[in-house]
Amino acid sequence: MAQALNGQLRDFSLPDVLQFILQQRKSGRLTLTFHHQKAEVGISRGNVSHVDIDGRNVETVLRDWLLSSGRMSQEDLAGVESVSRSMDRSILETLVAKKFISAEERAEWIQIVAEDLICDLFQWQEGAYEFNTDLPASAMRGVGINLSTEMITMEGMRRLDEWPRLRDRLGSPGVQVSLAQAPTSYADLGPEALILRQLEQASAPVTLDDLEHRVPFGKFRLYDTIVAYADEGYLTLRQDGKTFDSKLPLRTDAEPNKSSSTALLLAMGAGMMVLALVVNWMISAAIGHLAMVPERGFIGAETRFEAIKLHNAVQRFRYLTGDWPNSLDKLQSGTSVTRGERNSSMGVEYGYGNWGTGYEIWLRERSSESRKANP
Amino acid sequence: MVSKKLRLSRLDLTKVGGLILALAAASVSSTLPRTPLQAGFQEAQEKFKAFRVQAPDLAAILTGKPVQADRIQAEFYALSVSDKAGVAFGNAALGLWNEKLRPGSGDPWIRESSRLSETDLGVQWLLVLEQLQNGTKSSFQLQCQGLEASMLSQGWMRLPEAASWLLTSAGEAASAQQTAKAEVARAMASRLDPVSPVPEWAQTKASALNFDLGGTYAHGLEVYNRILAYSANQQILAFNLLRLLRYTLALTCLLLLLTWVIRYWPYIVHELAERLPRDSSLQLRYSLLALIPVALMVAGLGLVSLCFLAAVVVWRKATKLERTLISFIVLFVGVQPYLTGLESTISSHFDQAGTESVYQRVVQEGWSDDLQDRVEKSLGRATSDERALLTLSKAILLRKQGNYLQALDVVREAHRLNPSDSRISTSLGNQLFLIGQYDTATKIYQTVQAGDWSNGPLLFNLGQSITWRGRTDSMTNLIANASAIARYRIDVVARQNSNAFQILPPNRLVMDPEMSPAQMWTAIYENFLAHRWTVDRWDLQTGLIDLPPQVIFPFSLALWGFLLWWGSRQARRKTLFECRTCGRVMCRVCRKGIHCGNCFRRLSGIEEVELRNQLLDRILRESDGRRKLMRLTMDLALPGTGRLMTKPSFGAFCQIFLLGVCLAYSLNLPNFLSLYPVSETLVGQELAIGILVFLYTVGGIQLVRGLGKEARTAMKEA
Ligand SMILES: [Zn+2]
Ligand SMILES: [Zn+2]
Repeated sequence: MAQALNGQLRDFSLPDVLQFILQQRKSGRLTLTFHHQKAEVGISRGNVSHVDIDGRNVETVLRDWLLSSGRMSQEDLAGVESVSRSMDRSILETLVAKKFISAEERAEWIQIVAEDLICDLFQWQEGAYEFNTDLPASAMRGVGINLSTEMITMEGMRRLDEWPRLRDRLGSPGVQVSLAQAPTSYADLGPEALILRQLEQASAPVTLDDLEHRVPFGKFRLYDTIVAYADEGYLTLRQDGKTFDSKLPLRTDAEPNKSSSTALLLAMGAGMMVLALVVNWMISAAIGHLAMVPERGFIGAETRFEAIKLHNAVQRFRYLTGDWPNSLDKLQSGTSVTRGERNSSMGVEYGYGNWGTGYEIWLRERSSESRKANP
Repeated sequence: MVSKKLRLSRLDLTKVGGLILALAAASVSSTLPRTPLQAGFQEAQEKFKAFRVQAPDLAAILTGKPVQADRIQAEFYALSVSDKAGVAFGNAALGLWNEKLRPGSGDPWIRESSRLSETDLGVQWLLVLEQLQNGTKSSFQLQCQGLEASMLSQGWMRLPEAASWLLTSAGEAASAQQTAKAEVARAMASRLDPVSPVPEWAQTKASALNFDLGGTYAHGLEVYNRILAYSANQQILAFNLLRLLRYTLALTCLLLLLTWVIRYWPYIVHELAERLPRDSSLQLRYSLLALIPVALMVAGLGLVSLCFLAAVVVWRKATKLERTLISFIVLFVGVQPYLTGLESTISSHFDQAGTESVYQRVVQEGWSDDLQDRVEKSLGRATSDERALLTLSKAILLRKQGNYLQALDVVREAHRLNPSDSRISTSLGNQLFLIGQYDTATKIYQTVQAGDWSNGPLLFNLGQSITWRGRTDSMTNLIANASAIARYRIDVVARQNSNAFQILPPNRLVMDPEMSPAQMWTAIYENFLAHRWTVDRWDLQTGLIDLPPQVIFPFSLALWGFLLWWGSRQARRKTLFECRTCGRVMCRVCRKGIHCGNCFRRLSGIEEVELRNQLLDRILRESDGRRKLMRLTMDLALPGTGRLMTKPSFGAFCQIFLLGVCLAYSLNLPNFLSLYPVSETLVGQELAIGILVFLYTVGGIQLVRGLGKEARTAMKEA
């Protein structure tokens, strides 16, 4: 059954949409539109299987690169295209068959180009999205992309985060790159080493715009790699004739679980509570010291009735048992003075003293003076 | 000094100690005073001790100990006639002895004991208690009637301390299955305090528990009438209802804020938590930071400040609906001083040194040193407005002491001070009536009455003065015209008088005028509008370190404005994110791409797409479970908060409000709905606790069901 999901990226960003589709393990086509731009992402069981942004896709990017880097001429291309059409297979396959690129290269390039294309999409903060399950992804001619949605989202977000710093460093016009020292082995550096090869071929320093046309990488991958190579010392960066290094601060997130800081935090918490209790005690001591039987307002009346109740309770205890109670706690049995009732409505506890022939009830902190009065 | 020394020399040593303590106690202002009856009772116990030495067998009758019957008569005749209390004890003992031998035969003795101790309420009260404990039903009733008569003739309207004691005894008797004893004790409590609705309420409850519909209705009606007839009861009720309302709203607001603070806690403190040592667990850092508000509260930071603080920290993250509610809360906290002001206006009528309260006591109580003292002190610092009523109080006290001519002079002075006060005019009439000037009194009463048929005491006095002129039908006419409440007041006095006296004592001939409920409410309303109130921290009951009441309202307005401005400002840069997989909060520092550090660690090294997806699913389920558990725990601790946390709905809101009502009611001070010295006054406490229990049970069931579902899904997974 056909299902559609649509909305605005402003409300529900691309990572959210992809995450949702991934969780549902859906297949279909996600279309993003913004003004005249239009992007299509084919999704198969939640993972990315196709991407096309305004006609740019893995095939066109690779084709353009082959042309601009001179690995293929315009005539070669015409031949490849006619062969593909007649054999009804993708240009890439024909390119591999005609040995313009090797089979291993092909898999690598597909992955890299697709990744860069999709990551570019994450910059779309506005626009509409629509996801249709009625058009199976297989209907779109695939080149064998299989990207984990979750990995690509992660990578896209990372690039969004880091892009401003890279751009600040390398984005100004006139930055030129030249090879400083060739690496011992290009194979260890992965497909990005293509940049170094291209610089090797060019004798003079190359501007970034120029370099961008010679490799099939997105801007981010290009800049990121250049900075990394510059840090390694393979490249020299120049602007207005002066060299500079990329100076991107490296982030180190070592998180060893040291028990010392856990203990420190626990101690801090305990200290805080102790401090609070001390303050509380000080304040209540001060208040208790000032405590007078309140006379004003309802509280005064309440206290008067509380006094009646407590006196009643004490006298009742004595009437029933013949002795004065030793404390107000004793009143709990036999009489109905609960703990709450032994506190005044002001929240200050009542004090009680018994000295054989009589007793007294007072607000807290009177106790010391009353005891003084009663040797 | 000399005389004191002489007196002391005659006392035994223990008494010296007691006296010093009594003196010390008198000088200490924080000692809780006893009422005259309580003081008298304590003295009576001493007298009874002396009596027991003189006449051990008579004392044994009263205390229910074994008696040697042949020695009773001898002991009785050996009693010293000058020892009035002793003779009274003897008579009561003999009365009880005879009563037990032959019912009805002890009455004269018991009556005699009441007569002998007419002026000593303490002794009478002790006798009442002994009769309750060891006597028969009728001996107890008779002794009680004696106490009632003495109380009324001395000018007491009520003895709440005696009534509450009887109610407590009744409660104990009822739990010991002595229903008859409990019943008679409750009935007597109601007679010893005919003003408060509490004794009647106790009877209503008891009747209802016995399925006695007639009794329930009758006592319920009496409760209603007492509230309607006495303005003080209405004041207490209104004050408490207002306070309950305020507490409920405040608690509901607190619960809402608490829910949101817990819900948004990671957002609130994440950046702060990042500043703590980052090699400890994030949860620990969150909990440590959660200790800060707790510590602030323990240290005494008031709820007003905490509310404002919570509003601020929650605001940025709150949804539109939540922001609306927070705005209400901030403004509600702002108007607290005004709500409290209304409370305080009512409350000021209870000021123990306040004019109204002193006057009320003078009307309701008989003469005592303490009361006299109170009146003199208040007069000493009275403004000219208050002087008239206080002078009247003094006059009434003089009358209750029996100084009629002096009382007349004083009441004339009061009348000179404020000739327009109807209470003073009525009292002037009373004094004239008591010295036999019936015509003048009648004229004054009629002038004050001026067609008003709602003033019970005035109509009673008018009826009395006309009756004494020989027109006996006039009282009936007046009663026929009187309003229901006025008739109720007159009925009570008439019934008491006919029960207790053959010849009415002066204090029972007239009724002291009181402020009618309507007058009282008008006065309160005017005082509130005229801002004749102050609010201090105690009244707000907010905490020790808090905003001063005067600045709360402007502060709340300013805060509200600030929040609106702050909320409408666009965030410069998003600084906090949610982990796309587990929903944990993360910042630029701790996030790893779209993942939080936690998920990143779990996912790292797993390249296989399917495996990764499975792991992602598992993390998702776990975090879902965690959220659900949190919600259910909240629901169990404070029912409704968990529901509100996940999805704000009207139902959840109602649940929280209901919780607020119940908490406000049952966490509140004792004596909630009426000022009374018994715990019985927690009207409907059982209901509130019942609802609380229900709410928590529902919370528990929700938890168990939720957990059950979790377990079931977990089983399925397995
Ligand atoms: Zn996570
Ligand atoms: Zn962080």
